[in-house]
Amino acid sequence: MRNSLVTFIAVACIAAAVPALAHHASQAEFDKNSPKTISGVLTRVQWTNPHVRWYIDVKNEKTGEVETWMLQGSGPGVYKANGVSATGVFPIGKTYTAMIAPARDGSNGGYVMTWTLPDGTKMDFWHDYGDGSGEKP
Amino acid sequence: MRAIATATVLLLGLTTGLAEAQYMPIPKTFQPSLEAAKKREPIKNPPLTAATPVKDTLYRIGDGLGMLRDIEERDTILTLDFKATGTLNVAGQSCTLANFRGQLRYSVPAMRLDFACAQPDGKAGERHVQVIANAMAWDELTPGGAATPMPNAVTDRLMRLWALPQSIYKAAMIAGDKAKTTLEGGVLYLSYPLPAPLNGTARVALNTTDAIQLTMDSGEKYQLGYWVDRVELRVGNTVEELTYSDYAELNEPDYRSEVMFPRHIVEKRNGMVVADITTQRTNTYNPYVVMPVPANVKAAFPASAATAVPPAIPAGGGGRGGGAGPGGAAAAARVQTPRTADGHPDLNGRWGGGGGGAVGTASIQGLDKSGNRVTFATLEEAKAKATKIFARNYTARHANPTYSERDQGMTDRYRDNMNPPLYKPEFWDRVQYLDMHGNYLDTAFLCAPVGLPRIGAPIRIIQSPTEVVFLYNNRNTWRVVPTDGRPHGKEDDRDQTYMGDSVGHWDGDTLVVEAVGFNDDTWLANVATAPGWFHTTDMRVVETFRRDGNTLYYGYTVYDPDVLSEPWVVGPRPIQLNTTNGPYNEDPPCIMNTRPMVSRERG
Repeated sequence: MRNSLVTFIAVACIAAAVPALAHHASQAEFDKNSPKTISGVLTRVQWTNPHVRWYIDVKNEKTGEVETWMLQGSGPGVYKANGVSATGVFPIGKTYTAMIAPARDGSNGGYVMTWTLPDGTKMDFWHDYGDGSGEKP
Repeated sequence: MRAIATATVLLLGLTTGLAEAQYMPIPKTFQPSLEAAKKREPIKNPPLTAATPVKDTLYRIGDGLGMLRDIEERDTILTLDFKATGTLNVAGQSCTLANFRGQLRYSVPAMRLDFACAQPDGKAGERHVQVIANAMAWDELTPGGAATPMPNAVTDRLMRLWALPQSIYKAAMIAGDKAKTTLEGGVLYLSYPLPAPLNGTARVALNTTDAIQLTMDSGEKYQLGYWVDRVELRVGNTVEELTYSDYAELNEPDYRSEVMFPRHIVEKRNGMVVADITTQRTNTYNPYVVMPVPANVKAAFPASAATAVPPAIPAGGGGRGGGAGPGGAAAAARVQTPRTADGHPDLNGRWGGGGGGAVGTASIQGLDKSGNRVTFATLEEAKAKATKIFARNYTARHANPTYSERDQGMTDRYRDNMNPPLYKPEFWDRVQYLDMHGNYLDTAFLCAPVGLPRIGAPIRIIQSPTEVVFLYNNRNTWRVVPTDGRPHGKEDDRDQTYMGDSVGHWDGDTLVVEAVGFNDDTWLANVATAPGWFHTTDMRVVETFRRDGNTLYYGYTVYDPDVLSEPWVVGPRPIQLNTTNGPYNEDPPCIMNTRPMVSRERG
């Protein structure tokens, strides 16, 4: 169920682009051409405009320290319209994996392209990668 | 006493406030725009051995120039603005330019050249402003200023307009089947009759050997080429020849749009060099460029001169999301318009969104069960039949994230600038400036409310005999509009607000709502992007709501005579009754991004 629901988010982002607010160029802020994958425990979901934000505690393999990453995505309206809610899909305290476009300023942050939820379900939020299918890499 | 104080504040606002606000300082933190391609290198192709078909030739020209945007690759050039230096022949004398600015608006089509020759002391001499809009030509003292009709200049100016590289693509598209390609001595030529009312021809020599090869992140290689080298326009006994070289993106480095323009332009008329200019800077992001026809010019030309030249933009608009929204007027005619007990049309209900057709109306591409790529009419159909759905069609260039955002910026401004508010000439450059710095100056980016009329139509209307309540999802906004005949609140009592002070009345079956008392923090918008369209606190917005069957027609007119030279009329556009029974969700608050904007690009 989730699988089928999730693929369509990307489609809806396009279809709903007209009534959305103006956007700054996110590619300037995040490097969508160099995705990286992080895993950690979700500590907080901020269901706000203009972008939903997720806070994840990620263990730094080099230092052993746990660092908080702030990830962001589209506006909450886009997710809501596709049946994705904060409490329904993102319970906190569990471990999530995210493929992100890392922030270009080097901070612990990024734009989420794909989520892997605690139950293994993949949610694809990104639609312009490679062959346009939104499923790479 | 209070009135005097208000008047003083207003006066100060007009004399100092506006002047300062015109060019607010922008922090110098923006970085140069990203390079969309991983690698960009000049290459040499072997000479052609056969003429490229017209259709492919035009595609290569338009694509090389960066005109064909978005996955649909439609011509998305509506306006251009460029500045140059060099020499120009003015009334038989060659002069060194102190300044030169060219502006084009292809929907008319229209062009304004604004230049001055340098005097011996280096300062700018007399200003020349030459305008052509459709088949009307005139000179202006300053852009948009006092005008003198120039009926004898129409042909010359139209020839210049059609000679620019972007114009060549457009003119050849207008020529349709009459455009031809030939290969002569290894050079590809494109020939076509010039658009009406010119009775003449154009012959374009293309450079097919020099190309710029882009290597995309996916590893795919992509060529920009088929440059317009030279064009010869013949009308009657006049031969106009323009030579172009050194094509490059000449926009500001943090405001790239991937539209190419020749750095060097040489113009010959009947064999004599009349212009030799070097482009210094372009704004190809469909900037705010207008050429309103002054009343005395209109009077000097026959009415047919306003429509003699075909518009040089694709039919049916162009630009993503350019449609007027879900149609359905025909279906609506079959449904009786419900009325309230007092006889007015019943506006009660949920309008647009969800079942109203916003999501899922775009054509959806995907793979069918045999693995073939097909287009589905609706998202529902795709969900039912597709084995895999593509968010967008794919081309190596336009699926690139950086290109894709620039495509969006181009198409947004294309759509918005099709029907822009007409500002007084002294504000034209300010609108361009605000648009270019919108990331920093548009307060919506700082999470401020978008205000009226940018917020658009309400999603829910509650109507009683004495008032109408509008509910908006955007920032959980509401308005209570009295319709009992009362006037606006007293000016001294009301605040300057984002949504204004509204009163309404019925004009036949149309609800007319007038709002005044705004702050000047917000920008106007057609749809969403608000390209620098500022307003004053004296703005007055008049909205109309008319129900026909299950369709609500929503339109508005903005009056702001201090800055607009005429009222700005938008719509009415149809919005469908939404009969779904889903919950109304709270719009989450807007919390500013902690990371500063890094470039001026929007998309």
